[in-house]
Amino acid sequence: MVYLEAVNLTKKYGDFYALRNLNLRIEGNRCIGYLGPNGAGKTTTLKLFTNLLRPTAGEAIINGHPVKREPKKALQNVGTLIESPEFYPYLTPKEILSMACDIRGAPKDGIKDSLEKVRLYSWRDKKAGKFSKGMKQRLALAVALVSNPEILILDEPTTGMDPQGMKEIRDIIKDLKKEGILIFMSSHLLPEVTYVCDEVAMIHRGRLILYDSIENVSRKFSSNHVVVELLEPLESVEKIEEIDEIRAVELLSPYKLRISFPGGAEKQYRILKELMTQGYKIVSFQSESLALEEAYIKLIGGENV
Amino acid sequence: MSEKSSMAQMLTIAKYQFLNYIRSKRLFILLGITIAISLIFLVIIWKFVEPKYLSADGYLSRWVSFVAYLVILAALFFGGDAIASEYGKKTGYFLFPNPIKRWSILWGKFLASLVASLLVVFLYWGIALGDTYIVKGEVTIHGLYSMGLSILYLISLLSLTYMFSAFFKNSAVSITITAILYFFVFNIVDSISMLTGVEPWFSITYAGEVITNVLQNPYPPHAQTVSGGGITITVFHAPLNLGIGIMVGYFIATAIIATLIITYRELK
Repeated sequence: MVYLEAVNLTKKYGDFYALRNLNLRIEGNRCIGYLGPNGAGKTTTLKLFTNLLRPTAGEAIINGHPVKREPKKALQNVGTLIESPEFYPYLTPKEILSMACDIRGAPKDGIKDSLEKVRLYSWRDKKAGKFSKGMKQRLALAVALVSNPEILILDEPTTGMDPQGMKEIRDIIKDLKKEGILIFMSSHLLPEVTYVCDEVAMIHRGRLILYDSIENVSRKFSSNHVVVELLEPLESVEKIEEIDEIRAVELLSPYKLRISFPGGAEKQYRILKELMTQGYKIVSFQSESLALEEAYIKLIGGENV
Repeated sequence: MSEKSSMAQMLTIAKYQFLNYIRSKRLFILLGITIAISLIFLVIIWKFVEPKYLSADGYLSRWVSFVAYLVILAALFFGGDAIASEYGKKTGYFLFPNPIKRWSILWGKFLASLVASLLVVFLYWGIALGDTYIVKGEVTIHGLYSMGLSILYLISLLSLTYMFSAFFKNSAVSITITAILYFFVFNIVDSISMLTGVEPWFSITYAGEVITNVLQNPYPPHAQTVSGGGITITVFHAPLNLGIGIMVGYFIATAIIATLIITYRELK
């Protein structure tokens, strides 16, 4: 089974710890979101796994091979997208992917498919020097995919993209999970991680503070507020306030109210059921914030992502 | 996916680096400069040099006086930013996370630079030797020695250039500082040595003088003291063995340092 493992992985610049004793093992065919505020150590971790940085202590291991000592073996089946790479301006996307295949000893029959996946096939013979930031980011993803790697290490892969591009990249990553690839992806976009990933690792000030499945995180950190939208205007909230599980009701507009309750999926379901029984015409009923956001704010203390 | 050998990867890097020289027109620009300078030399030599008073080596030495500068130009054109650009222009984020040893990247690029430089230098030598043959009817073995020494000078200077390129993070800084060093600093060091009487055995440009010295008959003396106007200067001419030794020494030392720098340098 393919895996990435950090063993007491530490990176220090002078007195500053960019990463401190990270112990993390991720394996199997899944997508792990790597979250943390700016400067938490996310990119440092990914750079240590891709041989761009050398650890001060500890080891980054890929499929049993320490990256520092055996970079060729460790990175043989790893596709990477770190920061926003630039490409040689005199090469075309086709040539850049061909170069990546040549370096990796990979067949070139995946070039067309990779370029089509990232919607750059029609640009295959244009020089990369003229590409926008979003196009370069797509090209970088194509480079990561072209050798059909077992592991993908992606550093904020949707950076610099327009909303449609972001969605396309997320869908590509979701599809890749079906192909049995281990994906380790840093992001500062919580909805993106919720949408794409199976597990989440959170890092703060160079230390790992959470590693769990999105499901477990949702269970533990689910929001205790729901926002309800109604088809018809509401005149009074008194009847709703009498429902057992509800602590408070705030009318946001005649059609919209915010309900506070003790939290938990079971109680949330019972409130919805009771509202329906009472005949309210509910258009939408959803948690006020993502569970991941709740977890993030609770664990990291609301610092900017 | 099978692991590709480091040598094969080195050749891949060389292939794409050479493509860079072609697509960026660097190779054609330097070839153009070489042809332009050769035409100027042809005109000057034919107009101002009387060949019948010169031996074949003496005639060729008029051409060879420019070779050392051409070698410096080629090293700067093709090696000045070869490694620095990977850090400065962020292309390293594409190249370095691949399953490739850093030395394969360095030496692949070096190989491409060497081939491109050799094309330029051989073009110039071709014109110089051709003109000498047409005018004097022969090219002596010393002419070929001189050409061989210029290739050795190119290899050592290119290696030194790569060392600087691996050290600096910015392409423009790397090229500028290396150019200042080659065109001014080493020459100043050579001049100071004449005034102080200390042989500049540590200077690559001093060693490079053997390219022209080898065409002189007899070979110039190792040290010549000249006095006049209250000043005594010592003119040094590197003996052939010393010149070759300095160039080989430079190549080995700077190749090792460049390899170490690129191996341990981080892309922060």
